[in-house]
Amino acid sequence: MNRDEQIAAYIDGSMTADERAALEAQMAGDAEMADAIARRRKNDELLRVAYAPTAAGIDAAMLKRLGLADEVQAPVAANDNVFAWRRWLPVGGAIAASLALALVFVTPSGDVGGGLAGQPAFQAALENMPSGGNIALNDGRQIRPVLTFKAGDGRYCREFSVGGSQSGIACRGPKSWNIEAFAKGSVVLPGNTEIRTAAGADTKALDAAYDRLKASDPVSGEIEKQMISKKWQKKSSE
Amino acid sequence: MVRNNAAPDGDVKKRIVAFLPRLRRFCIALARSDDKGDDLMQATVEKALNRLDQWQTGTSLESWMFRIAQNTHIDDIRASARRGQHVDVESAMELVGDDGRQIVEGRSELARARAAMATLPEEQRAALALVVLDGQSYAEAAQILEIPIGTIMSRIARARAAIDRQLNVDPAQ
Repeated sequence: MNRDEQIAAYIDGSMTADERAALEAQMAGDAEMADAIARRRKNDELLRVAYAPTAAGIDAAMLKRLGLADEVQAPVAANDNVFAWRRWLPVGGAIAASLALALVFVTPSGDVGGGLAGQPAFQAALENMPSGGNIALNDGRQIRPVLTFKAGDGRYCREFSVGGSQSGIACRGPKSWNIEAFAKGSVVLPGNTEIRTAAGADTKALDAAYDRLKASDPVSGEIEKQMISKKWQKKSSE
Repeated sequence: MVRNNAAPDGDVKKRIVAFLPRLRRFCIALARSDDKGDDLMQATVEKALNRLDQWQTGTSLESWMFRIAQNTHIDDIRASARRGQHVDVESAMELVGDDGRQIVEGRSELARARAAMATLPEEQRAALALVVLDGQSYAEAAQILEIPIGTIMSRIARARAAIDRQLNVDPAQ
């Protein structure tokens, strides 16, 4: 391995433990080597942002052109869905929400959702994907923004589902999307035309987060589109 | 023997739809422009749907489609070369004109990163797109591109060095 290859194998985790230890020892006395590694990591990050996967333009027309539309309907956002979204279902004992809290993992800034927020595909999905679309994470699970709302503190937040078996709420911070709540159970999206709650899903758990965040009604698909194109920057008038 | 692609068509199509954002990113990186990337993605999906019987259930659908995209891209380049057309480097790179540096200078960091990626030779760009953009391991990337793992490593190493020269060592600022 030449020097560039050593650096590459180190960055990409393709070294044996011994090789890794040897290179780290070398870095300690070789500022130029340490510097080259840091620069390349930063370049990689820049490339990943420059080529963030986006679903913009992957719409019904494109799916039809690709021969994928007969099976998969164009994504329909829950936002525009007048059907039974669970927040509008009459909830008998709304207070029962607290019973489900055990399944919500909320920490102010910690690792909620098993490192999900750190994945570029997760960030890309919430940043760029209209509700109803899917992006495959590298582990094969699919992430799907379900709807967008505004929190009482002015942040934009989105509910999402992961792999059809988990769901959560993330809000847009200054730089990235932070997970506010994460729960087992997910909404079911049959044929993408209506949203209902999976049997046995722990949906009350997210309701507690909706309450805590003082959520607005979901914004329309049109507003969501505008927010995506504005990268979620609020107008100063707001 | 009848091989039964256990997943019914509908399921495969749903998987393909979910994979489109990643496939599209790979195609855009290969083709060096959004429009050409979308054309390449479309050709890739068409071929995949026509040859679904060649995909072996149990192997990665995504890897298989990445390989189709890469082969289609190489075929396109060869076909243009045969027709005596220059590979349209100028427009493909979009951000780099006669005085590439000057144009790049005024652009954002992200545009410079894209421009740097666009100047890489084909084979380095494909390897970098799989490993750095998509997070594939050397082994997976080697399997997709049908080359040895050592070759992946040396392509990634050369690509990273070239990008570093453009973005940092030989800065356009």
